[in-house]
Formats: sequence, C-alpha cells, structure tokens
Amino acid sequence: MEKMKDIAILNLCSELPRELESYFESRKVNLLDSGSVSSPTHILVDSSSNIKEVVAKYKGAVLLSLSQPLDVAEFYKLGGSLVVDKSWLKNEMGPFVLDKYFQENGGINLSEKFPSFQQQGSFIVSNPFGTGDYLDRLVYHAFSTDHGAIAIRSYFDNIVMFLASLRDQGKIGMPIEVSYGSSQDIFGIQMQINSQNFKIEDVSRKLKSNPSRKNEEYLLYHAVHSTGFFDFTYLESIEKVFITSLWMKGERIDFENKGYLFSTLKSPQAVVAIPEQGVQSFISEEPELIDFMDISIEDREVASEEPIVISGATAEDDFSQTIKGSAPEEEFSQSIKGSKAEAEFSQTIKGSNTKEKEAAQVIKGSAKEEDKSVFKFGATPKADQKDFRLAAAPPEDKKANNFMTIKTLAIEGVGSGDGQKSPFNLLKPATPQAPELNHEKEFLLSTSNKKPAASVELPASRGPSENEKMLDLKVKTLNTENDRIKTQLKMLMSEVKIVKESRNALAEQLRGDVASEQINKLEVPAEDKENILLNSLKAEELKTKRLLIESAQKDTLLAQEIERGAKLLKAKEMILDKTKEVFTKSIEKKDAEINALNQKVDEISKLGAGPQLLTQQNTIKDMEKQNINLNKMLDMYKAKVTSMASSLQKQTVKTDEEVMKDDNRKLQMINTQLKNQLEVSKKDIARYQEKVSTENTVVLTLKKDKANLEQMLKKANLGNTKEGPAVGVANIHEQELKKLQTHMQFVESQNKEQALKIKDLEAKLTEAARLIKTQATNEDPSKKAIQLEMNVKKLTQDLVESRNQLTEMKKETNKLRQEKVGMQNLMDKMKKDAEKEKNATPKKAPGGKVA
Amino acid sequence: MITIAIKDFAKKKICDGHLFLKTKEGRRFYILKPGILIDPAFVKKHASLNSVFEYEPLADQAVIQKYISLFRELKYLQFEKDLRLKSGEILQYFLSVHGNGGHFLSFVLACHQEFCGIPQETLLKMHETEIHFFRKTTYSAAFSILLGLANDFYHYPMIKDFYNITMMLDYGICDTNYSYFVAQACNQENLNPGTGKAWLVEQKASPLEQTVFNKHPEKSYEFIKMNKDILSHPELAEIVMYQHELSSGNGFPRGISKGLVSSWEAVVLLADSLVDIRDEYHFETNVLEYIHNYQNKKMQELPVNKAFQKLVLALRYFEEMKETGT
Repeated sequence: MEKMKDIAILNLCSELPRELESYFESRKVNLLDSGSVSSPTHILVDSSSNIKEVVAKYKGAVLLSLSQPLDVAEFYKLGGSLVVDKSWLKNEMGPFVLDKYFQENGGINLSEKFPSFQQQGSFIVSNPFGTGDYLDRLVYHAFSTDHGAIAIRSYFDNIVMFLASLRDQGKIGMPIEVSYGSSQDIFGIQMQINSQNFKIEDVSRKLKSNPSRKNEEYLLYHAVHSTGFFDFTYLESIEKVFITSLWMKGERIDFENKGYLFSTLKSPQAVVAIPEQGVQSFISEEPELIDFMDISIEDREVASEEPIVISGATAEDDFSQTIKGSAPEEEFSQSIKGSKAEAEFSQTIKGSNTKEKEAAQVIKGSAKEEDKSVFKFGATPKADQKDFRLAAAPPEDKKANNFMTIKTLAIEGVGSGDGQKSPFNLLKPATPQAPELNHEKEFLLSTSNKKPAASVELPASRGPSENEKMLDLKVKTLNTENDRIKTQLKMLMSEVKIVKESRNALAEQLRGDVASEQINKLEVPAEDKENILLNSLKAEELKTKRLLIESAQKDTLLAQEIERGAKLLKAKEMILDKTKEVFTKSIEKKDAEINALNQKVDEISKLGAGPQLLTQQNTIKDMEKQNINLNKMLDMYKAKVTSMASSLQKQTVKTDEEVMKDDNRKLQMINTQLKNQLEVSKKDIARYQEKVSTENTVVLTLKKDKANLEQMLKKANLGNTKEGPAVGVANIHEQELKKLQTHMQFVESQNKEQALKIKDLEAKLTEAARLIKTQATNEDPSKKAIQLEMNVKKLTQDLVESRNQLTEMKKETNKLRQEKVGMQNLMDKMKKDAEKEKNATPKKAPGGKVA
Repeated sequence: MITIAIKDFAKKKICDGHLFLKTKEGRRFYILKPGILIDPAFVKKHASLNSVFEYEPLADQAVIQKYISLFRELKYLQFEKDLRLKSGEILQYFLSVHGNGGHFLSFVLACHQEFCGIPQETLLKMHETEIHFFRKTTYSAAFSILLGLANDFYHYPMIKDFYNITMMLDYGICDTNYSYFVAQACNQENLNPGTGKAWLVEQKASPLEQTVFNKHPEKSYEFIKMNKDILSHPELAEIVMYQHELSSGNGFPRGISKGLVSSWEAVVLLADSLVDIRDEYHFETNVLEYIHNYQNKKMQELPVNKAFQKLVLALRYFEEMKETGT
C-alpha cells in the first residue's frame, strides 16, 4: 500500500461508479477534481473526456479510462495505460486489477489475493506451432468449470501466433510458460516469456480498435477481444513479459466489457507467484481428453472383460499376421486367423497402450455391446450376424452409440498361453505352425447388424497425416490381399465340394462295380472303404490347410517387407531431418554473419554522418588503396609461388642427369658472363691506359711549356735588368699559367672520374669472384666446378694485373700532381719575383732620366 | 578390474571408471576418477610410454547406448504428445535402471555424449582450472536433462540448451585470476545458499578473488553470448545470470526474488545445486533415493521448489506405474 499514498487521481469522468469510489476510499487514494491546484499522477477519463486536451494540460500524468477509447492505439500513445470497464468493478476482480495497477505488482498474485483461485495446470510451449495437445487440455479445464471455452481457445491460438511473430522479430524468446487456473467466476491464463530489446510500444501500437489486415495486428486484435481483461506487463529488470488474461463467468465477452493494461515496470512492487499448491507434473497427468488420433487397444483388464476374440481353440493353432507401423506409438497390425469360413477373417488395428478410457478411434457401422455374440466355428451364423465388426464401444459411452471404437478391441487367446501381460503381447504374432483346424474350436467373433467395418474413418475435420495415409494404404493393400485369399479359399472350398461329390459317386460305383468285388475279395469291409475315401478327403482338406498356411506365410513375408520399407522410409526421413537441421544451422550462421556485417556497415555509416566524415573517408580511401595494393602484391606473390611451384615440380620431375646438365649450363652461363665482364673491364683498362698516355703527352707538353716559360722568364729577368719594364711579359706568363691551371683542373677531374670507375669495376670484379666462390662451394664437387675454379683463378689473375696497372696509373697521377704543385709553386715564385722586380726598377724622370 | 592399453582408453572422452597405473614393482597408483575429462596430453604422454593401466569400469555401455537411442528418438519427434510420451519413456527407463542400483555415470556419459555442444578447448580450460569442478558440472548438467524432462520441457534443443548452460554456469571462474578460494566459495554458495561472499571474506580472500567470484555469472553469460553456437535458443543464456539468486531476493548479481524466476531458470538452478564439489559422490548408485531425500534448507532459500516438486511428482508417477504394472 506504500505506493498508494503518493497517488493523486484527477477525476474527469462525468459519473464515477460507486464501486470505484468506495475502492478509492478504502485505499485512501487522493481524488482530485478539475478545479484542484495540485498536479495529478493519474487522470480518470471516460468517453465524454477530450483526451488530447487533458494530456496537453496535465503533462506527465497517466491516463485511466473507464470506457472503451475510440482509438485504442492513440490512447496508449498519448500516455494511457489502463482501460477498465465498469463491469469489472462490480465483481471481485475489480479491486484486484486496480491494486495490481496502482501498486505496480509484477503480475497477478493469485494465491495471495484469491485463495479460491486454484491453478489447474501449467505447461511449457517450446514450439509455438505445436500447442494442440496443451490447448486441448486447457480448453477442457475451462469447459469443465463452465467457462467460455470458445473464447479461451480463440484467445490462446491468436496470442501464441502473435508471440510467434514477435519471436521472429527477435523481441521475445522461447519457451513460453503457461499456467492457468480458475476461481468461482473467473478463469485466468498467465504466460511468462523471455524478452529482449523489448518495448511496450511494440505491442500497444499494434492494438487497433478495428480488425486490421496486418497479420500481427489482426492476431492481437482477436486475442485481446477474446478476453475479458488483458494485461500485458513488461518487467524491465528481468527482461520478461507477463501476459495475464481473465474471463468472467456469465458475462458476455463482447466489445463492452473489455479491459486492457499495458505497462512497463522497472521495479515491481510484488512479484508474480504462481501458486505452488497446484503444482502438477504435466508429464504425469493422466490424459483425460478424447484423442481422435489415438488408435489404441484396450489395456489388459478391459480386454479380459470384453473379449472380442478371433482365434482357434488353442493358441498354437492360430496363425496370425501382424503388420506394425513405423512409429512405435502408432502400431498397426492386422491379424488374420486361419479358419475355414470367410467370417473367420478379422482385421485389428493396434494403437498405443495408454490408459485413455475415453480415447477412441471411431469406426462407423458398429453396434452395441449386446450385438456381440459367441458362435462356434462351423455353425451357421445368425441372420443378424452377417457382418463382422472390429469392436464395439462401451455401452456407457453414449457419444459413440452408433460408432465402434477400436480401443475396446481386444484379442484373446493369441499369446495368452505364455502368460505375458503386456497389451502388446496380446497381438504378438503366433508362430506359423501348421494349424490343425478343429471344427469344434470356438470363435468368439463380434458381429454387427450394420455395415461391415471395412475401413477406418478418421475425423473429417482433421487432414490425414502421412502416417495415416500410409496406414490407409496398408489397410487397402491388406484388404485386397484378404480378397485374394478369400477367392483362393472359395476355390479350395469348391474343390473340396467336388472331391466330396466325387467321393460319394465313387462310393456308389464301388458298391456295384467289379472293383467292389475285387475289394470284397480282398475282404475289405465296406466301412473301411468309406474310411479310406474319408481319409483321402481328409488328406485333401489338409492340403487345403497347408495352402492356407502357405498363403498366410506369404502374407507375413509381405508384411515384413512393408515393415522394412516403412523403417527405411523412417530412416530416410531422419536423414532428411538431420540434413535439414544442418542446413538451417548453416543458414543461421550465414544470417548471423550477414547481420554482423550489416551492423558494421551501419556503424560505419553512422560514423560517416559525424563531423569526422572527411578524415574517415580519406582513411577509408587510403585503406582501400592499401587493400588494392596488398591484393596486387598478393596476386604477384601468388603468381611467384605458382611459378616457383611449377618450377619445383619440373625440377622434381627431372632426372639426375638433367639436373647435372642444367647445372653445367648455368655454370657455363656464369662463366661466359664473367668472361664478358672481364673483357669489358680489360677494354676499360685499355681505354684508361690510352687516356693516361694522352694525359702523359699533355703532361710532357706542359713540361716543355714549363721549360720554355722558364727560359722566357730568365730572359725576361735579364731584359728587366738590362732594359725597361717587363710587365707585359709577366702578364702573358700569368695568362698562360691560368690556362695551365684550368687544364690541370680538368685533367684532375678526369682522373678522379676514372678512379671512381676503376673502383666500381674493382667492386664488380670482387663481387663476381665472391659469387663464383660461393657457387663453387654450393655446387657439387664435380669436374665442371674445377674448371670453373680455374676460370676464376684466371679472372683473379687478370684482376690483379688490372689492379697493378691501376696502382701504376695512380702513381703516375700522383707524380703529375706533385709536378703540378711544383709548377704552381714555381709560378708563384716567379710572380713574386716579377713583382719584386717591378718594384725594384726606378721610375722614369719626366726628362726621361732615371731617378 | 581389467588391463587396458592407452590406445583403448583414448577413445573415451570422459573417464567412466577407476583408472590405475601399475608399476613394474606391482604397485598401483590411482590415476583417474570417474567423470573426469581425459586430457589428450595425458593420452599422448602414456602412448609414448606404452603404459598399461588397470581399469575398473563403472558405466554400463548398453545403458548408455539405450539412453542415446532414446534421446535420438526424442530428437526426431515433432508433435507435443509424442514428445511427452517419449520423455515419459526416458524417465521410465531412468527409473528402471537407476532404481535397481544402476550407476548414475551411465546417464551422465550418455547425456554428455548426446548433448554437449561446448568446444573442446573450453572443456579443457574448465578441466585444467579444476578437475573436480569439471566433474561437478558434468553431473549437474546430467541432472538438468532429468529436471528438464520432468518439468515439461520435451523439446530436444531445449533440454540440450539446459545441458550446455549448466555446464557453462561457472565458466566465469575459469579466469586468469582463478584461485582455489573462488571455486570453494562457489561450492559454499551451493551448499549454503547466500554464504559464498561471507565465506570469502572470512577466508581473507584478496579483493581480486572476490571480484572474480562476484562477477563470474556475468563472465559466463558474456562467454555464452559471444559463442552463440553453443545454444539453440540464445535467449536462454540469460539463465546463467540467475545461478546465485535467492528466494528472498538477496542473491547476486541482480537480486531477483522467487516469483520472478521462471521454470527454465529454476531447472538449471536446481541442477546446479543438486551436486557440489566432492571427492566421491555416494548418490551414484542410488540416485533416486538421493533425489527423494533432497528436502533440505536449500529448497526454501533457492527459488526452485516448483521444479523440484515436478521432478518428484514425475518420478513418483512412473514408479507407481511400474509397481502397478501399468
């Protein structure tokens, strides 16, 4: 009651029902009127209220309606949660519903609020498409307590299918726990379901005021409108949905007295407690319903009470044929028992050994129990016993008055000798021993006044399943077999008649014939003759019996074949189921992968919508490029790998000789390459040598020039001392020196380049030598390798020579450098001397005299 | 007691008897207990050594095969009534075998063979964490099948899910920070519901150990959610979160009270509480008596009363049927 204190209800109804008023009074609920200042938590409205205005005025308040809203979906959208018809307030359920609503109970606490409300059963729905058995039971209970079974059935069918559709959307999960019970006037069903990602709007917005063409809306509409009160509560904390539906006895379930409650509870005040005193195991419940699918044989006790027996006098004499269906619970058998007359054929259908007393397979053309009678084999059947029937319904079963139930069919005698108790043993096929038909054997055969029960009629409302079709087919084939055997028997009987007649004729002939005299001579009495004839007749009869047995054996073989076929079919079905399962699993996996990918795509697209769009796009582009590059590289490597693999394969295919040849060829190639390199290097060296020689000539000319210059200098010095100024000559020397210097620089740069080239060549040569060495070590120590080594030696010698040449050249260049430096020094000296001399020479006097 | 070579023993996944290693001097060493996972490394080692063992099998292979064939039959049935009848047949067979002293291990092994859908590496991780813990979960998981059938869950995928969820309930404690204390606390919680946390504090467990214990339902749940292939009904993974809930609503991690616990959660919860970590399970040869006498304190403190009642009712029903011969 704690929560009730905080409730303030604004009453906008034109007239508040007296029951509701008293309820509010008893719960001490603060009831406000339209003029009140304080803000309400709930608003009570009816058909006269303008809901939109009310909602706009009092934001945040929850709507309660005492009448059916014009648009239910709109009502819930605007903040409505409870619709309760006034009729509900008149009975005991009114306060309960309101308490549950205001106190935010997590469900209906039936046991506490209503001690009389007893749970009648519960079951678990794991497959929403397989609820028939449970629903039958539920409806049976509702019917037995005088509640509207039609409305309950309609509700259950629709709500389960609605839940199945919610499950397809991933809103809820399996299983569904259903519990049901009733009090004096109320029948209730409660369902508990796991739910994920669920919102109450998922359901409330689908509830329309009129039937919709949309499947889900249609189902919900019909489910809700089949109940008196519909409560859909979602418990957020445990992610479970509780659906409670109530029906009132005596009240019309129509549009007027509906009540709905859609609520989401975060922290339920009280919890749903299924009353535990009514706990019962569904598995152990004795089935009480009439199950038209049951093709059952009566259990042992009943069988002994109502013997409808087709058998010989002794069990050993019987031979029976049993055809069992593929499924153990749908066993089917046909018993044909050896006899002389057509009436001795019987067809039995065996079903499960359950104790369902009312369970019956109905076959038209049956008669009451009194019609059953006992007659002896060989005796002429009564006029009203022309037909035989499979079984008769128990006399107390009024519904089956004109029907014959298989369940009461029992076969006595067969297998009874071995004392086995199981009802299945009653139809155990007897060993096909040669039967000795005794005319005095009793046959207890039930007969009917009406049509013979040739075929089993299944309820028309139910479409025949595959098993049923199979059974029908089997029955038909067996019937044809029966007909065939009957004709055979007829033929045999006619043969017997003919034999009898011929016997009589023969006997008469024998009496007055010569042969009879001969017989008389043999002193064989007439009676003995007759006995002989009778014996022969008996022998004929035995023959016929044997034929019968043979035919029966063939039938059993046929039955076995059918059984085997059925087993094979079942095995194939199982395989198919397995493969189906595997496929569905793989599809589910794929679906999950697709979903995951879709989610990723969504996430990326969501991210793309943000401010970091450009950078992300760029990164994506980069990534894509990288991806393309990587793919290309991958392809390249793949190609490489394939080529390597192919080459490897080729190599592996080659013989040792070929390998050797290849090696030699490779080595020769390397040799020639090296030779070429050597020749090239030699040519280079020669070229460099030429260059060096030309440079030497240049150097020589330079030397000569130098000498000339020296001489000229000397002369100039002398001239200076003797004559006047030698400035002009010095200038000329300077110019020549500059020219020499530039030339020297050019030569030096050339030298450097050549030195670099030589270094490169040296490096190449050393590399080649190293390669040859490594190859030589890797290769097999064959003769070719020795030759190669020789070549290498030659090459190294050449290399050494070229190196020597190079060092010589280097020496020469060094010398030249030294000379050049010396020359430069000389030049410098000469310059200095020339300057000194310039300074030392006296200036001319204006008169041309030296000062 | 039979002599067995390692190659013959290697065919088994779970040890179905007592295994001894005999030395040259004739001394016997107890190597493996029934119900313990046979580690491939163990087989490898002894294969290289050509070890010969002495072996005392406990499980009945014929019974195992019969159970498996019954489960397979259940698997391929579609209609509710057929499923119900087949489930009844399984329970009846359970009664006929274990009511006459049949070893419970046969049922355990048949269930493991038929229903276990947990990856081998996960099983090995559980086994490596604590062999007795693995053994306990295997037995509990077998009970979940029995409870599932008795509680009107007849669909093969559903009871298979129960098996795998029960197996994975405490996978969260197979953490890098696992310690003996954590497993013992779980066991303590099983023995005396609501005392696990206090026991850990009493034993002066480290905060890390306490966190592992407190968070293990979530970790197990996350693992199952990540490995969706384990369950046919992934929504049932939620059951893991109920493993330490109490009737009073003082359990953890959510504190859900009795009335909000559904029957499918109760089935797994009860299966888990039926077995605790022990060296020996004396109920193995008299499991029916063990079930019937399982009326203790736990029933009030755990929200499993209804599930237990249904199991007892179903077993009693079939027992009566057996007695009356119907």
